Amino acid sequence: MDELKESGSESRRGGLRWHALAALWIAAVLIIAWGRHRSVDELWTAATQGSPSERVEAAQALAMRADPQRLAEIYPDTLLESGDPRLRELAFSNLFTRNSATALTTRDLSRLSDPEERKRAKLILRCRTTTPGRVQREDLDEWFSTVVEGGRR
Amino acid sequence: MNSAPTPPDEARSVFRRQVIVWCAVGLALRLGLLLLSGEPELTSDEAGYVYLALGWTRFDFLGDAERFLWPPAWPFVLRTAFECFGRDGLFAAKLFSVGVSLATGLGVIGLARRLGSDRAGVIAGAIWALYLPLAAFTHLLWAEPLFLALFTPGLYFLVAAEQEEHPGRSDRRLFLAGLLLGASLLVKEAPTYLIPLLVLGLLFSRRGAAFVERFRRAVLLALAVIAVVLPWSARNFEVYGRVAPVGISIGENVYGSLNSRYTNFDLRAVSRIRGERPKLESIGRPAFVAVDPRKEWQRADEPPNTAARSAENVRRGLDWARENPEDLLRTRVKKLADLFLPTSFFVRQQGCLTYSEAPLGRPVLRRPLVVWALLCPLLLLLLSVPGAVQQVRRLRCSRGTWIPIVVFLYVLGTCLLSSMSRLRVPMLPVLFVFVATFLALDRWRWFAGKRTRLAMGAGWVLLFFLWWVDFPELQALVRLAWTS
Repeated sequence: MDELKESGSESRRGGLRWHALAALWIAAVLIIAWGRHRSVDELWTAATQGSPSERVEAAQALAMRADPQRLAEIYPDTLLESGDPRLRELAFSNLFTRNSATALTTRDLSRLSDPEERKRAKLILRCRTTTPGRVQREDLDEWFSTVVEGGRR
Repeated sequence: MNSAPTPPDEARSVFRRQVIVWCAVGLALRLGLLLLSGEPELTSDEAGYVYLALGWTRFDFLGDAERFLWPPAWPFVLRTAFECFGRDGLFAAKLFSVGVSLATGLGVIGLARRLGSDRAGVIAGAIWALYLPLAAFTHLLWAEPLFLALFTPGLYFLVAAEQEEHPGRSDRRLFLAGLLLGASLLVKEAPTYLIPLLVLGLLFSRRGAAFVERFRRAVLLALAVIAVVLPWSARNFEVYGRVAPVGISIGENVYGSLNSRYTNFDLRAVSRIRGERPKLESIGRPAFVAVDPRKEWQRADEPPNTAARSAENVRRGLDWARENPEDLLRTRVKKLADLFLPTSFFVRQQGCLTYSEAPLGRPVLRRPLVVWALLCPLLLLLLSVPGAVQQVRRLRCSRGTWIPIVVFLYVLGTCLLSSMSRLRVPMLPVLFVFVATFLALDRWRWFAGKRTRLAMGAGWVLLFFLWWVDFPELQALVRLAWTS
């Protein structure tokens, strides 16, 4: 009987240890997520003044939930006018453009002055997952010769 | 003629040797296929994953795939491979898939051993090693090998936790099961709703234990899964402003399924690649395919939010289902038939001439491999019927048996929405275990009991009926895979 009691108490101790560990981790993640949650204004600040990756992330949140209409008014032009070549190239993924009238096409490639950059943007435009085509082996060859070697900075 | 009982140590060492042999065979087959496949052209989702990975390397951010949000783990593996190996990253990722598939093999062996015997474990190892359709996934760029490498050990530890008497050890296994199942969700979202079912199962299993104890165990599994998935879910909430635990794909699946159109990506070769591009509806049996094209609804492409687009597609699909109950029922039979169609992506790829430049595409290899790839699901599904019946019979007397049965029923349920052989993959470890535990029984017990025989007979009749439903498409596909 005593053995059974001991076994039962061990079970409660052991079990709650793992529960506590998981719960602590979950609480930490929730606190961090809450702390990182950004208002529309903060997202706009990050989208215009942040580092390239911060700008892209903020733009994605703006496009998806926070302010899609205003973003659609200025994107992809804002990206095209950016000083960072990666952001200019990213514009050709049409990631933030649901409206086909404003989506960039091959005609817009002429808006990029650097021929190397144009080459990379063309690849990004062509390989967008569902439209107009998909990544092929030769795209990969080109990507690793053009984007990685030519575009490394 | 009875032989003397084998001493336990010797039996264990024989078992280990056999496991090592089958693991080696399984790895060798996968490596062989990888080397003989050359570098096939990227198709469908493979290209989508590669694009996401390339975008991630270039722009330091993971986008969605326009119509889907895929979980991040497989694009992350591809991204890491590209960053470490450049253009050779594609090969490195496939090699990675070959390596991690060993975890699936060991998981399957462990499951069959726990739910059957050592002999069942060895048979399960042999099935895993030689099951060509699964082995072939390791040289394609779908996420299935990585998914199964996490999902199968997750199921193993769940069964092990159920069978373990020592509370401390049982908790550790339960926690590990939760971590692995959570990690598998970060590869493929398919089992998202399986987790609540498993948690509920823990609540009702171990009937002798107090409810508080069962509740404690169920909560532990749930917490472990949430702990793994939550960082990604929180990111999704920040981006989309909606709850998307791991991915967003249900809307696209509803578009292809609860609609007056028929899609089955196993039949890509039949419908898209060669010659006349016939509509699949014109090949299949009209009773299960034909639906009024005037009732077809279009995708909701307008909302900027991927989650909102998905939700709108779900709404349109449910409206279609409410308005066309007869079409819904007829086409669900077709979905079931597609799930149990004895084909695979390997046959599909052969039909699409994916390996036309590689040794795998030459007739001398292609034809025997196509036969092998067709026989695998054919035999597996045939033997799964008695295997499943045997497992159901053991439900009350063997702890943890409910777990593979719940997985089987869950995959069956999800495939009523969207169905093809690739979506059968999460069910494969369970089918391997069903077959292995059945074959490991003494032969006189195979068909013992009238109710068992009746259940098996009914299962086979249903399976043959489903094969008959899909036979015209299967015939067309095999013809394409056979001819060059």
